Amino acid sequence: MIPTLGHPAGELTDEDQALVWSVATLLLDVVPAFSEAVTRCIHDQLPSLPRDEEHDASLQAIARAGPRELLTTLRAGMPASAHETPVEMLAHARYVRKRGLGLRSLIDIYQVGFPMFRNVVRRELEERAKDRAQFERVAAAADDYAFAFIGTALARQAVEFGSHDGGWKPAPGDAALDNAAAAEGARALREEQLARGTWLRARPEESHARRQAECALDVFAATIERGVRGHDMSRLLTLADTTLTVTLADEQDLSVTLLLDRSPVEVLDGELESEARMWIASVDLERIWSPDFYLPMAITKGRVRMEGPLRKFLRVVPMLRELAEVYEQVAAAMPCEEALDA
Amino acid sequence: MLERSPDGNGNGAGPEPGFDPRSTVLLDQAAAYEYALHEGAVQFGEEEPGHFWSIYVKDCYKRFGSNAVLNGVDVGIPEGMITVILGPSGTGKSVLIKHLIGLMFPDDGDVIVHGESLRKMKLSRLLEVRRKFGILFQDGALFGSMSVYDNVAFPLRQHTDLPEDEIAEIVNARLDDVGLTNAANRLPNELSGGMRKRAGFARALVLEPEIVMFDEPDSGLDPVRTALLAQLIMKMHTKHGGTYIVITHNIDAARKLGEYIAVLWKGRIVQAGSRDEMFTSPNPFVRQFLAGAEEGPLGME
Repeated sequence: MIPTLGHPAGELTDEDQALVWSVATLLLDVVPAFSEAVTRCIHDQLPSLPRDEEHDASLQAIARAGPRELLTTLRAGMPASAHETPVEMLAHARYVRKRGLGLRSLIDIYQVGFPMFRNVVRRELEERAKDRAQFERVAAAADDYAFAFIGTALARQAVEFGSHDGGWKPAPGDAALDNAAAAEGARALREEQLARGTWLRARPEESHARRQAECALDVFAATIERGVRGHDMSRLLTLADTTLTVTLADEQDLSVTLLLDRSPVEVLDGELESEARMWIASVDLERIWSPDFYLPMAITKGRVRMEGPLRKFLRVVPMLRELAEVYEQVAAAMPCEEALDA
Repeated sequence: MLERSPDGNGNGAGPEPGFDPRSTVLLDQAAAYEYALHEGAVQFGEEEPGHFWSIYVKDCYKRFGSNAVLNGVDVGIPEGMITVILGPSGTGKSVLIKHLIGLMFPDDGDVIVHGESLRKMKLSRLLEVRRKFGILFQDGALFGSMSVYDNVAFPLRQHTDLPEDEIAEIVNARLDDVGLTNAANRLPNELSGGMRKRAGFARALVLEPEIVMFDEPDSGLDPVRTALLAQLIMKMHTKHGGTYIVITHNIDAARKLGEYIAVLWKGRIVQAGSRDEMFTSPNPFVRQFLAGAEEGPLGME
């Protein structure tokens, strides 16, 4: 099923939406390669940035998180009004501030990285659009969606630097989008990968996007299962006294069901009859353990859809932060990004 | 009698000194600004009461004589978050708390707790619903003649049939949570202000309440102890979950604690949203208030 793309550009046909969905699906495979290439491009363009392992790791983390966020939320049919700042981007803002860098240097990074990503997306849309009119329509919608995301993310990151006036929100005709080095970086990445035979698959069904989303669901389930073993967590989670089916918004036939009405709590594969349901994107499911991710706010913004008395589950959601360490261990043992690198 | 006069209950929540009609104009301007900001955006509504919001205060009015203390308060308290209700002194915060727990009822409007209307509830049900709440009062409200241990054990002895050994296990765990294990045998007058608050906090948590309310938790504390108490509140929220509601006029405390913030001014909610939304709000009323700025639409009235 192709979820409806909820961006405000509106006037897209079903065919247009299918095009965006398939390009988003295919591009997820090359996010790791993109993040390495964009990190190199950023260093070339911004020689004053620190060049050490720690800084590069943080830079690469946002170079993965941003594109993955955009592509996944598009696949999940999330509206642009539901954009939030990925926790990895917040972590990077806090990190660079700790390193003594200012908001301007963060904006500079985005003004190289985002135009490069935009060029990659536009090139693939152009390649697959049936005609010029479809390309222009779809590219404009993709811009609306991505501009809103960058604006939201940078405004939130700016707060970490004490600025309440936002950072940079790209707009049509913005000179910063015409970054020649970023365009060249995007072209070179595509050429290199094509030469190696590692660029996009021919069809979305061949992409690893689904496997990566499935992996996120498996890690979630395994974290709960491991987390409730051996201490008070199982009893605490039964305070919810509910059953809940968690379905991926970006792969809507993938679900797990949490039975929080018994001790020990149980996690079952698939969609079982339950009191409440929620549809959540795989990227958000990975953040549910973070103190920077608020599930109730994700619901009010339309990022996460719910049915039934989800409130009962929300009661115990803060306790899931206690499982952050367990999540890190489980995720390290089941690295979902390998699904993309495969 | 369930409803008590704010002057007569000893909690210092007197009605406001007069209601200036100019405030209504400013509030309407603030509301219009907020509406313009969100025009076209989908407002979040529950499919059924109690499916999402922990508490919903629905268009509440409360008047004492000519003083309108609550002037159309309409706000949801999200489940599973720390909500800060922030407002200057005399703006109706304490009266609002009493409405949230059914110690006072609105002249008009309603308070919905977990989907149930407090107004339509029978007394027996209301008393059951009150068990969902744990409350930390400004001064800790400890019994002066009881040790810290007995103060914390009191709700368990009153409301459960647990044997003393199980009570001891729970009380010791809560005292450990708040770092008062070594003060268990002390009397309240042997404690500092911060310790009294922590003892009150342990007592508020002892029945595993679904909603914990804090009335001006920073009152009487220096900035360091306020920060430490805020840290403790966040730690306990992660450990025990549930809905925490903090009523304060302290903007720093709101910034540290508030995952969701509602600004109450002159008996109405000016804006409510996540901490990020509030501290980046373009609403000039909210900006001035959260920045504590002299310049802006809010004057001395």
